[in-house]
Amino acid sequence: MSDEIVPARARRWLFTTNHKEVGVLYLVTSLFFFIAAGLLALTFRTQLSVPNNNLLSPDLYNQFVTVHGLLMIFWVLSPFAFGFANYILPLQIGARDLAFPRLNAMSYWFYLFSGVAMIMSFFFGSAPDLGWTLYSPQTSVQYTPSIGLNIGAAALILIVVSITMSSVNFLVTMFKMRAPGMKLRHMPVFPWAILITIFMMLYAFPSFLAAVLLLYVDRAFGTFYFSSIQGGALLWDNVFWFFGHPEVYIVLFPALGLIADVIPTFARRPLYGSKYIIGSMIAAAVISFIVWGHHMFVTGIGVTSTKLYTVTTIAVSLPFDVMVIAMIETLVKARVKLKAASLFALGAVALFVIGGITGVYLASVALDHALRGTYFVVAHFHYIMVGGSIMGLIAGLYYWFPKITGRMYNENLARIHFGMSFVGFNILYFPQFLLLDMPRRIATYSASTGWGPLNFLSTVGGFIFGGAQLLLFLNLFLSQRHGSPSGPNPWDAWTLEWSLPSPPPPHDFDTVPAIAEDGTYHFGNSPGYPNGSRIGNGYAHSHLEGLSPWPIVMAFAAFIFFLGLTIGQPTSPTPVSYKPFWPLIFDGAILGVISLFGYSRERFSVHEESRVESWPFREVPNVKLGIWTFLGAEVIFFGVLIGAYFFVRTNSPTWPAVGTLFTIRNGFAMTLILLTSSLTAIMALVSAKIGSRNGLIASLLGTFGLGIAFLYVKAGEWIELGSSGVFSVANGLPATSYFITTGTHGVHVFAGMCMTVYLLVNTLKGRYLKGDYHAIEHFGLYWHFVDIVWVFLFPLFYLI
Amino acid sequence: MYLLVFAILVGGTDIEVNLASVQSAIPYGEYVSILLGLAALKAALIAMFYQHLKYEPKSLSTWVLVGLVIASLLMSLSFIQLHVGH
Repeated sequence: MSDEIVPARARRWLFTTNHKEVGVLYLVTSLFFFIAAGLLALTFRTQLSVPNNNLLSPDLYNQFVTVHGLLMIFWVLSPFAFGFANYILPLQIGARDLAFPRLNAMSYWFYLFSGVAMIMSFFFGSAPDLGWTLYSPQTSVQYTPSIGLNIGAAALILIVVSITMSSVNFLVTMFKMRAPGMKLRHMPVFPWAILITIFMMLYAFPSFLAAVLLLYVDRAFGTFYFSSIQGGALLWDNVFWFFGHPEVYIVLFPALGLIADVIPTFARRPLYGSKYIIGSMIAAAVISFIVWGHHMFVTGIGVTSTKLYTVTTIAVSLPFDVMVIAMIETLVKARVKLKAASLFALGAVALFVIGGITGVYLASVALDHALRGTYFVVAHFHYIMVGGSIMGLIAGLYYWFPKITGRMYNENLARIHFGMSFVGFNILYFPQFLLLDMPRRIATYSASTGWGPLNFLSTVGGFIFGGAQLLLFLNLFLSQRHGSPSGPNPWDAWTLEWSLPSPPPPHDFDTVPAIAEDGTYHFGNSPGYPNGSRIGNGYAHSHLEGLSPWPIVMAFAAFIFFLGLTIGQPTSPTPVSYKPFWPLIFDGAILGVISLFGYSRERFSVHEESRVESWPFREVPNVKLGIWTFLGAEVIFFGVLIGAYFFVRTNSPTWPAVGTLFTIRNGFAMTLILLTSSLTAIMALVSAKIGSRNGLIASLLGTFGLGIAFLYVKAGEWIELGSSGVFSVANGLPATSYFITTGTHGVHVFAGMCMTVYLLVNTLKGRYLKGDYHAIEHFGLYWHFVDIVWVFLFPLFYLI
Repeated sequence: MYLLVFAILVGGTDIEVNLASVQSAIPYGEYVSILLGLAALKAALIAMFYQHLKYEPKSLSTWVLVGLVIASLLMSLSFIQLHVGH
């Protein structure tokens, strides 16, 4: 498959693994979701434009608002940015592609199918309708029996999987595949922004994944994590906002990084204080993990916590001050070229400042008590997310459109687009600051409130802003066919992507770019580049024309599997339970196994260059770094599950005493079994390294057999506990937390056993014995991690 | 070396189980701390020797530590929320 060079057009787009084509797919798809979410917004803005309106029923209004928020945050903002990251970032750092091209394609297809699932939820009774924050207990089956939320949960799980794959991929790429001389400190700000964003994604999204999984089991199996009256709602608040606050920086940082590249180009001078901007982003990213409580000021979390979060929230605003001041300093006394890209970039900075200042007001507990849940908050975050992020990303669209298509857009139409967008945006959102006594998420209001005129004005602004985007699409659609040729560097810019033709060839660089010791490189014929120097001697590398069907097949398999889990209608009204749709589950599982098999057997090689910048992971191979990165995400995932157990246990007035529920003997046996399996796993690696086929087979068989023994003892324990009648999964928090936490661990053990079978089959064919033992090593990393998790679960559940 | 680590891990587990049998004689807070400390020690041994983190570049072990720190932030700040300053 990877040898084909000239495939049919549709097949090429379905099977591509080229970073530029995947980038285009992300960009186009995110713009479609932007239109969908925008239309939802215009509809509910129309509903709110006049008092006592009945265009939308309250139920439909709630669905539109919720899906608008979910689509914009998960399916528009980040994918839009990662469309650029996919296309441009490897060019900016001189990499030949992403580290794992098929994984990259799979990320995209998981993203697309997850979005399809979210939109499908409208057609199954009711889409999610409780706001994008999915607060408990509204998410319980008692208040939201419709399966639309189940399907929405499946969509969110799929997109988190997509994001995790992307995170691993981009981290390995940026650390291990930079062109010679492209040290980390020489990278432009946009790649730095993506790198920092990826860090936040890696450590924030597993928390959200755990939260959505627990929500799903609450609904599907009647567990009590979030519906418990003993702090269930507070538990959701914590695990959601631990993810939720880094998330708002995740959707913002790529746009800020992009703006930091655009402004210097059009100001015709280097970025002022780029090191301080990057340092500030790092600081803000770190602090973002300790501010989440400011979303919970009114939940009764105690004075110590509110003081702590007030301080950290004000602290997180400081790095942004540094970033904005540095960008403004770049502009002082500069003769800025006012093209569409620079107009949108400057507009984004201005709007971001307004949003940021209003965020500092909300950091005050006293003010937050009055403003929380009002339209002041809505205006605040839209100034950041739309004003700062969307406008910044549109700047990127105009900036890189010539590079991607080889054609110039119509500058006058683009300037009109900016004018209408900027004016429309402010008419849409500024009045909402003044609606600081109007609650969020109400479908209508009475005329006596006096909110009518400002709402009407806001809706007018919405239509101006929405209408302006039609100009964008018209401009780009016509220009990509009929625009004048752009040439390689229409902006006289200085980052590496502008050294290539527009559009770049499939293989990007003819020879690997070599950057000088001081980080400079020279291209083009014009003098006066601030970074002028000579390119060193590059070297030729093989062209990559990788096509693979397995990414889309695997993503589709996951899509129908999760649909099968969530599409089943309620079987009884009270208590509500859902019947899985087994045909889809079965089909998805079979297709998944087939695609895993096809993926593993496909000849798709990615050559690791020796002459690349790879500090600080010079000695760590790409796949090993990818696995450790993935395990880092798993640490957070299990950390949240264990943290949820701690939370519900310390919040419960009573808990079964040690030894009354679980037999310590069982736990001890399972611990010994897993520890022994870790020994056999390491023996497998030793055998592979010394070339002992029999030793390797015996060790792998031993690991597999011990895995079976572990699951056998676990299953016996489950059956014994379940048959007692007083300890089923839906019978209180002790049972809930036990079954779900150990069950999730058990799924990981099962996955490890499947890997063992795969390794055994290949060992019998003679693999892994002649220095090619890395797959055994990588399996071991995973298996030992699963063992480590159990090392904590044993005392937590059996001994404490 | 692997067998020695295995022996220590099994011995540590044995200590945990024996501790549970005399739990009533130890203050609960100390009991929990000892158990979790033992678990952490066992986890560190597995990571260092079975996952070879001891022999990997420091950059990789730092990478792993970052994840652990962030996971502990969630747990510790949530604990403060529930139990401190009400």
